[in-house]
Amino acid sequence: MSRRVIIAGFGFLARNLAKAIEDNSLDIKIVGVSEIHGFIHDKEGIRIKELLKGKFNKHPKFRKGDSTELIKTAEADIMVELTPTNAKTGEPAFTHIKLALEKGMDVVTSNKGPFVTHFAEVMELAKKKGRRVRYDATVGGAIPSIIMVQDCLRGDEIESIYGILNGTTNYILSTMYHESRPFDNVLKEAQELGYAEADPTYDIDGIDAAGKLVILVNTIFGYDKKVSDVKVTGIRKVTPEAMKLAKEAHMTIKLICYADRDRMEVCPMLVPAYHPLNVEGTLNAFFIKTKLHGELTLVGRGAGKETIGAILNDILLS
Amino acid sequence: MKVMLEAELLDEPGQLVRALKVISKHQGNINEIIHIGERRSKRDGKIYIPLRLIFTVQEKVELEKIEMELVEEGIGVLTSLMREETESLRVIICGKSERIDVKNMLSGIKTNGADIGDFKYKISETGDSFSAIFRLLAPPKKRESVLNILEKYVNSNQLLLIKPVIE
Repeated sequence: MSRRVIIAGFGFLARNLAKAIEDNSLDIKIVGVSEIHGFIHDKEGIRIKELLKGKFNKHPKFRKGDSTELIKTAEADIMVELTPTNAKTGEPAFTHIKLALEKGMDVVTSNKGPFVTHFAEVMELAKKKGRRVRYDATVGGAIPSIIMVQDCLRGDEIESIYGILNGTTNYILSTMYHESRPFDNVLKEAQELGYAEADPTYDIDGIDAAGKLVILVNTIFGYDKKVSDVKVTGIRKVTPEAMKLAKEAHMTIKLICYADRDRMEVCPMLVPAYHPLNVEGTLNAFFIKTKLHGELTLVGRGAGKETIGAILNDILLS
Repeated sequence: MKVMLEAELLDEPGQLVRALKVISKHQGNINEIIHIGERRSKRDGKIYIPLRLIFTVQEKVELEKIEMELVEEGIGVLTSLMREETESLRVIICGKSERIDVKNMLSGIKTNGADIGDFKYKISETGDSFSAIFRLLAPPKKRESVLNILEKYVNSNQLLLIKPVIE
């Protein structure tokens, strides 16, 4: 039987997800989709071509309302939460996830918000309801980071993790390395190219990376840490001269997320040029040290439509 | 702390075990044993072979006890050298030139048991920013405390300390 899916939030990721389901002829039936002004619900399954072609609010099954109404109304196996992230409150995703779990749905999401703010609460509710919450796309985008630490290292023990988990800062630092340009100048370019937000604070001050580190640490070690538990230093103070000195020493500077059982830190660090964490542009990297597997590295796109791969995998695992 | 101790042992079975027992009794951890056969000597009809023992101990007092007990066991101690192992940690410090007092920063590091190597710096064209790379040479036990001192200096002067990810 097809997996019945509802999608909360119909932006860039959701549209590409629907397209991938259609293009790959996957046995997934989208029975509901919501966005800010209303939702579309069809228990027989929404025709994806029709959904992607026309205007959302002109769809014959469109109704005014919000995502909570769709979750309450629809009969589905999985709720895919793709609304914009709010790292301070976790909303509206946190409410959507709670409602879906209460209704007996599994949850798949790329939304960091609820996991940064209410990690233990979400997990406890899922456990109580006997459902699964999958959130691989929240950390490292397309990189199968969560799934690796949850499912691929059974019997092993993770000693420490290092990650480049923010594409914006990696783009800025990579460009500073190659072009010997000052931080402000490269930041402006990153904003023009759409790699950085108009207000770049969240990225360049390391908050976004710290949130992802919190999700990883809570997943790996079973903690309920918050961003406030992470020692965070951003990249604003990295000078072009510091980058030149690093380069002359056959190293580079990257914004690194580091954690072990006792410590969580996000800060600019010196990385040897030969090290697998030395990845370019907007790429993300995830490097872990384990007792049995030794050192493992995963590299991939931390954002953009490649993230669909992680979401789709989570849906098919549910 | 790493120790290189040369002892002179009687060329008879069981002598090496006696020496090693003394070292292990005082928490010495043996890394290497080298027979210096070419320096063997004969006295009073007995053959003696110098042995170079390389091991680590936590404190100097343990080495003193080892030396004393070896002598009591009739094992001659020819020489012993002890040195603190140092780790090299490359770091970068950068920030506004007016906020960096290099002399003060370096002397703070040195008075806390660490040394500095390969110091190199650059100043921006405008002269307002200063960046330096150097090696912190510190015994493993002091590494964290030296880094903490450096971090305190950096934070109080609104500078940036860039530590190595793995070295």
